[in-house]
Amino acid sequence: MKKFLLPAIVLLLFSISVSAQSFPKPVNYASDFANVIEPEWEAAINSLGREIELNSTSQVFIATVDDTTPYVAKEYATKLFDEWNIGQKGKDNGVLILLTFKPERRVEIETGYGVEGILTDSRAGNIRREFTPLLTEGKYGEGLFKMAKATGDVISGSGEFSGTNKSEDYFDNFWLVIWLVVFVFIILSFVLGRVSQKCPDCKIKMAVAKTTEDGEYTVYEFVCKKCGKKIKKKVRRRHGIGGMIIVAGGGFGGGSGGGFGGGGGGGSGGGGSGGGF
Amino acid sequence: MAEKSFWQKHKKAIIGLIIILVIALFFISMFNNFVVLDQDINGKWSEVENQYQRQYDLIPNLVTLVKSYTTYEGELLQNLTDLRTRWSSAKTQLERDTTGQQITFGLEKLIAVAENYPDLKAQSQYTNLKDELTGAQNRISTARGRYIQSIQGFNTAVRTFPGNVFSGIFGFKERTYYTAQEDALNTPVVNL
Repeated sequence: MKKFLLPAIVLLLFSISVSAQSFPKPVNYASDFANVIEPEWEAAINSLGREIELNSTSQVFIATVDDTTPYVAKEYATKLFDEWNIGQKGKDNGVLILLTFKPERRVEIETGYGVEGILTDSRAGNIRREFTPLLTEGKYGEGLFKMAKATGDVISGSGEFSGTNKSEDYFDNFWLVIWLVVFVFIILSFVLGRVSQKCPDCKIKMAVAKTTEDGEYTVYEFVCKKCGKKIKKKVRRRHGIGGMIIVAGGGFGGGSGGGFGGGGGGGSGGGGSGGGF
Repeated sequence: MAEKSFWQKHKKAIIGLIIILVIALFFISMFNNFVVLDQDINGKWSEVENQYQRQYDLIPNLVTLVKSYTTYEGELLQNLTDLRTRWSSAKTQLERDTTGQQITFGLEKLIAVAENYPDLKAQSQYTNLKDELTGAQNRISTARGRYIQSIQGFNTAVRTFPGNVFSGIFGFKERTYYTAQEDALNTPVVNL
């Protein structure tokens, strides 16, 4: 077996190393590799990107690249889009606005499969033409921000996208997450549901001497086995696992706000619109 | 003497079973790998067809629009309409691809000619159509590139070791892509 496996592994590693191309990693919604966007516009683009993603789940990324050689701007935009996986997985609702200087001064609006329907090439073209004059004047930050804003307006106006036929594995993950959350809550409710008390003096676990019910609450009377100290504790009664699941449902979905999460797994077929500036 | 454990008693049988299992898994994964790569090619081709279809759908509107603003471009327009019919009735993949590429070139020519008519150029409908057309052609170029890449991936797997040993056993042959269309393979990205 070794005879077969070793060359196979070597071959695999080799082919991976050959096909790997070097594209920069996204910095934020704005990735200013050419260093042409003023800091205040960069901050504005980043918060705009976050807002668009929160409202519509769509991702609008902006990148400036000095030189795209050996690719032309359009090819580079498509490759960068795929490399960064802009848009949510299964929805492909991403947009990349790329500004390049060499070999050509161009701006490309690259659309993901999922937004092609609403942000058509002609709409992208109109947005591009409207704000290209700002780029020509050298107001790169402002021009790109306004392009991103207009793009976001078009996308957000449409609400959710049906996306492509990849929704199946999206749903698999969705249910997996739901079940995990339910599972964790059941475990947690067992662990947390047990009321216990340590003796403040002896630091050992106290025994429950008596429980009484007081409306919604249960009153536990603890007694220390060592020193005999007594403590009363009032705990709101729980209503079984059904209530827990509702709590779990409400808690789901949080925890991803604030930071920049990078691309979500979207793809592009090379659509969009580009032109010189 | 202590009694022999289960492992000591069946050592050879267990090792033998594991080896057979590993070999079987290796065969299965090699086979699946070929199937996946083969299916990928088909998927990539249907994407190319989709994008040709997008281009195809734009022709009537563009032809009508150009016709109403120009007088001498009848032959060019007729040629495009004929190509469009030929594309939809094309039987083989090669024929479909060749006609599709000819339509792309025809449309590029038409756009170049249309630039001489200021009235036409000023129409927002024309600008929109041109954007859509450029988008379609960029998409075709991207989809074709991915299709060819997919074939190359498959052929590499078939030709290189250990794939070359297994491809024969499983009956997977190298796929060809068009050598007749050498220049069409490098469709330039349309810059308008």
